Amino acid sequence: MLRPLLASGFLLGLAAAWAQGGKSAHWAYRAPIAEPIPGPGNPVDVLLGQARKVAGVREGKLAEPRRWVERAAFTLTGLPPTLEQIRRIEATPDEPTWAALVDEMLASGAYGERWARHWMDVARYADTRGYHFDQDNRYPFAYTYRDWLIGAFNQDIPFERFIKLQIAADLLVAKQDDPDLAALGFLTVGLRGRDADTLDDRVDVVTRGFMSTTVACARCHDHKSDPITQRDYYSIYSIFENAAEPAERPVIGTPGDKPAFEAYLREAQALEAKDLEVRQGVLEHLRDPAALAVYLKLAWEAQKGGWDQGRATAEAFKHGRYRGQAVVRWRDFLQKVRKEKDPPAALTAWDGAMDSADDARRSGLCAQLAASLLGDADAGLAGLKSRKDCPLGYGVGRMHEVFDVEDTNKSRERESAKSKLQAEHPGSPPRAMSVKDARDWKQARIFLRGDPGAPGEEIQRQWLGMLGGGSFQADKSPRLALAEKIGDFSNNPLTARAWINRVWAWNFGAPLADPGDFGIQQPEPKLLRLMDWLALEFARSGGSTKQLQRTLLTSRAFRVSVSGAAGNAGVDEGNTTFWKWNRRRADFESMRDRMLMTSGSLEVGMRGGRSVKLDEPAADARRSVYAFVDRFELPGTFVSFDLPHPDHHSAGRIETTVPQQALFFLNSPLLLRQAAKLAESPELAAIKDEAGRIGWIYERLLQRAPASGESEMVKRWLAAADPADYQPRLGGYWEILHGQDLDGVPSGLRPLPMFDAGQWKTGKDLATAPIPYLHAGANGAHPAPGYALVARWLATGAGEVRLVGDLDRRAKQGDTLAWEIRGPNNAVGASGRLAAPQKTSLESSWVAVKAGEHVDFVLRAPEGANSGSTAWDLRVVGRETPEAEEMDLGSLRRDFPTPGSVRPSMAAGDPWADLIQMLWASNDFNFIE
Amino acid sequence: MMGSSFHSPRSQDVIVDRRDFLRRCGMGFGGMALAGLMGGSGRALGAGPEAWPAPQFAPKAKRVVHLFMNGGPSQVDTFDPKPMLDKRHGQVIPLEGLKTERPTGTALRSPFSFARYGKSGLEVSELFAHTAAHADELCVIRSMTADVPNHEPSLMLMNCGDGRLSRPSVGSWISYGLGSANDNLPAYVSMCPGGMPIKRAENWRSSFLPGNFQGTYLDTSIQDVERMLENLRNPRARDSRQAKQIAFLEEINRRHLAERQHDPQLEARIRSFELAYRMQSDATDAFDLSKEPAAIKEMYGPGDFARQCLMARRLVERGVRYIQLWHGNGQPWDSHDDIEDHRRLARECDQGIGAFLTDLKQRGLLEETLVIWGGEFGRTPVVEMPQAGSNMGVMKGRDHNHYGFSMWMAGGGVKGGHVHGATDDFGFAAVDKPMHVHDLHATILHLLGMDHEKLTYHYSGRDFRLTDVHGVVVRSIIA
Repeated sequence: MLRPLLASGFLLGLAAAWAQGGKSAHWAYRAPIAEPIPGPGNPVDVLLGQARKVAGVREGKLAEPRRWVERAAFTLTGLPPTLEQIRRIEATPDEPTWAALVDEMLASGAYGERWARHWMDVARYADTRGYHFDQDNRYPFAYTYRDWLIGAFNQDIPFERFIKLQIAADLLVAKQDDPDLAALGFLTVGLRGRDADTLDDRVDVVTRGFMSTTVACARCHDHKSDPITQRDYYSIYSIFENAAEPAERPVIGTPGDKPAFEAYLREAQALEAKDLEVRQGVLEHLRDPAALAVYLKLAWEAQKGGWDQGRATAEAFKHGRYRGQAVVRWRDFLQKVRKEKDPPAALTAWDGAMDSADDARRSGLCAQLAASLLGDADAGLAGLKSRKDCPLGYGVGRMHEVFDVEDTNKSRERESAKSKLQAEHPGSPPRAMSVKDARDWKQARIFLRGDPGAPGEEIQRQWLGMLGGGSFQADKSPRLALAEKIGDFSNNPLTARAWINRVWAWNFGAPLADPGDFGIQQPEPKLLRLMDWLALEFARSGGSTKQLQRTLLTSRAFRVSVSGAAGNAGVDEGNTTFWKWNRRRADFESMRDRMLMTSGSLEVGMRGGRSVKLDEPAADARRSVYAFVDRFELPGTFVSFDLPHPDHHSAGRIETTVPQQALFFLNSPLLLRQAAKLAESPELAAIKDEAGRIGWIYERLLQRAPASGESEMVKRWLAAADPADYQPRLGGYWEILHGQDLDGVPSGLRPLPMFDAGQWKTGKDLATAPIPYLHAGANGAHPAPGYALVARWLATGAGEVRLVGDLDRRAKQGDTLAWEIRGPNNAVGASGRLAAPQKTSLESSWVAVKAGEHVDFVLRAPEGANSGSTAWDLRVVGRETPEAEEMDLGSLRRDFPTPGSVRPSMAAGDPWADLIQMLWASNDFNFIE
Repeated sequence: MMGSSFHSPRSQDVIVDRRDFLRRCGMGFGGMALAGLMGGSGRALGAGPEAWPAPQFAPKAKRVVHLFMNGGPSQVDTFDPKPMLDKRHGQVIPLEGLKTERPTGTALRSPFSFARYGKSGLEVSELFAHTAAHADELCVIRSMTADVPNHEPSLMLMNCGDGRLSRPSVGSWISYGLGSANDNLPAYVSMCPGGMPIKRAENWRSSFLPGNFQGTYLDTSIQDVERMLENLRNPRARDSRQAKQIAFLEEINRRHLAERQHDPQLEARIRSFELAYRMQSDATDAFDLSKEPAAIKEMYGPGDFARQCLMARRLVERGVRYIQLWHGNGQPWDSHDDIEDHRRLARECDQGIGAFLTDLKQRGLLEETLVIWGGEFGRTPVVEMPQAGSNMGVMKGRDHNHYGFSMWMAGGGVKGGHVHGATDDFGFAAVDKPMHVHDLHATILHLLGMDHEKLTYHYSGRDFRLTDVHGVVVRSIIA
């Protein structure tokens, strides 16, 4: 039960604060007011009815029952409804049947997938961290956060817990491998920048995400319009400043595949060992007497010459592989020791001797000092090496502090390899992108003008002043206390309103107030009473989002017709009182999912796991929520279809209609592939009569029979189809094959068994592979004696083609190679020899091809194994008729085949595939009404 | 309120003059066509009309072409001659607190000779002889400054006005402010041959501005037009078949529309298919250089950059607002090891740039097109020292330098044959009339007829602008 808020005191404080300015408290900062509902029925409809009366609009009729189901399927699951569901509501369009259908959809696993994706907009979800120079920029475990969200929505965990786990799961779970730790991805999947910027992003996502409040505006100065101060901002900032990500992310599950897991562990350990070995090497170098003597001399020179880091680096490098940073460390350390009370006498003596010595003598003095430091003859000097600030006292764990550019580059490579292993190895266990409180908390302070280089006043961490302020509870982590304050519906008027507003908007297509900002500049929402009732009801339900969905979906407002009563448009054109249904274009995810569901490709039961790249055909089985989101290079389709850029929290999607979207429906490989697949499906093939086929397609795609006239329209179009239009266009794709070389004729051609590091080959290590050194990559190839290596171009349409290109063999010497260009039936179009070194251009004669026929480039080593690799650049040009203009049909470099390559279908499609594609492209399919 | 299409609709938000809105936003490729008519409220793009920049003054330029020499070209070897470097070659010069990114040593003279060009007598090095033929059109800014000597933040500053935070790029702001002048082409195109510059697509991002203001990237090393733009061409359907498909789709959609009350969303989507179909041929045409006469191709010369310049001219003619030409992938102008490498780099682009200026001039397009040349920063007049893992070759290169560097502008209302500002005797730091990148941005927007303080976008509780709280319009370089 909600406590009466006036008694809680916060409102009094707030009212006092605002009374000073002569204003009453801003609507969003006031507690929701509980008022009796003036009438029977769903309170949503009662309150909307009141508002409509005030606005002077009339309530509309309900839409046809099938629309209810279509809408609910769209908003709750993002998938099309089943025919059976539509028939059920059409047969019995009463309240119990409707409520049962809503429950059914809420209970389906698809519900969590749909709503997780909504929240992922808010949480600026991405699978990459942004720019990361030359390192792997992936978040290998962002997916565990996404999967946690799906589970959280499906299980309908209380919203307060939903908040607390995403901010402070580490402080709430008992076990170190608790899957709930993944919730912390909310904080950590954002864009990375300078520390202050990464933390700013976390302040923003937490405050705008949960409270629709722009605290991040107060980074540089107090908020211009809202009662949010820099003190508020840096209180929260400081909480996240003291929550670091552990170096090893906690494992929260074990892969089902045991051998793979073990293989992963072996590889991970090997990487660790390599890292340790390198660090150990640097450590030994620093402790090597001869090297130490050089460092000491350089340190002395650096002291005398006032070198900066750059100079020290340059001078050190003149002596060989010496680390500039170690020079600086030694200089500073010795200087520090000199200034201490009672510096070792031997050091003072050394200083004196150095000053009067010449260069050669100095080297000797440094060698002596090195020996004393490393040995134990001189107690004063020998004692220094165990000090933590002495470079000799650095352990392997500190070696990166003295790394030079080369060391750092190598270290980054190892980091990347580790990240790649975690991201890709089938045995890599799931981990949480968690955080952990610092052991010693840094003092909270304000940065002047938001500049971390200009620390200002020290502050006590406090809760947002406008919501009552006050310090956080002392007996727990301030982060957990913050999460509790945000989730405290009784005392925080923003959180429940912010959430019900989002849920409303995602269901009704327009919010009650701007979800991005509930600040002072936002006028009081017209439907504030409705908002308040929903917020209070939500709190009363224990923060059950599913209950909230039930309330909204069983309202008449959700089921009202798309046209509404005549005359309303002139009074309330903006539909502010929801007197009609907002016709909506399906968002990208539901459009794609509905398309794949109706094509039969989507595997709806397949839940969770690593993110998949949507442009790979294997992804056609997966829902869009599982897309790999690269914030660094957002796929063009995402941009065209209005996915918000995940660099920032998104308050709501901006909807645009641009021609790129139309191009996607007309030309994208996905649509063409799926349309062809459905057109060729056995179910369709089994239907022989035209009307039956048309009916089947309409039912499948639109869950309805063709309306009167539609069937005729389609028949007319089918009848007018010109077979000449369905001849495939001249085009093709590449394959890499190998076979035996039978006196220049390739035999038994088959693919190479392995693709690794951009090359096709017969084993990972070329020297010990079954066919040693035989390999082919986009830029070059290496033949092997007795074998023919073939780059094959397969035509998908008819015409004339020519294979042209360049070969460049750079090895100074070696056995001469042979090459041939062979058309269909092994006819030789050109051939030659390639000595070492030699560069040559190739050009075959014109070859006529039909779809399915090929042109081969064959590379052989008939004279022996000493060949080295040959750079190749092969292209196919062609024309459909001898009179037509020559076209570029394929470049091996550009279109090099990989295991993930999409092979274009040989089929040109047929009018049925076109019908399917055009129905997917239609407004009927894309708008939800 | 902007940045979100979700808000409670209010009557004042309804776009009164839809035609005007569409003109501003562009119906086309890079524009937004009919944006955000959420719930049929007529609310467009979350931006009330009051947010659109009112034209404060007549624009001098209608569009921008930015020739981006990524990696950072050296000023003392190109547009800022320093005889003092010859005199003090090999000597230590006073740095006065100018910290460089990497270890640097003594003064390094330029291996390139300078000459005076045109009536103005503008001094340009031999590297840019073709460009220098247009000396009297060039406004060389010798006093550019940025914030830090690192590529990533400097690229972000030059392109997006902030070194660290995710902010929209200049081209996004300009497309947002001016819309597209061509329905069938992107308003903002970023070209780079054979890959992308470092920071990749972040250089042309729209950040919190709507995604359709993002630059459209083209890999210009690809000769096949159809592969340059995503989904531009159907790999299977012949043109005749596709025309019939679209006619059929239109019939399906018209039937659907006829059964419903007027709804602009439905009509906009129908229209988007017509646009898309037209775009397939128009875009193909725009990028198809085979249509250029041989004499023109010859004037531009060989190579990817020259092809980009020629493509840029075709896009300029077709009304694209903002075109960025990158020299190449990675950071080609980053001559740490040997400044002689600048010779090769200049050879790759100079002829194309010269021809581009000639071509714009002869078509009367230069005066309304602002051409900008430069990198993210310049280079040190002192030599860079070798160290493990970097610059292990000859000691003839230069390190990064943000304290002072050169850029030039031409056309679009800037003074020709003009030099603005100066660096010190060695060319290290800007000392006379320093011009920060923010000032450059303010001036570019001014030339396009926009006040940099008024071109704003409301997002996350406040109004953002390209120049944040900085930037001064440098009026002395405006003709």
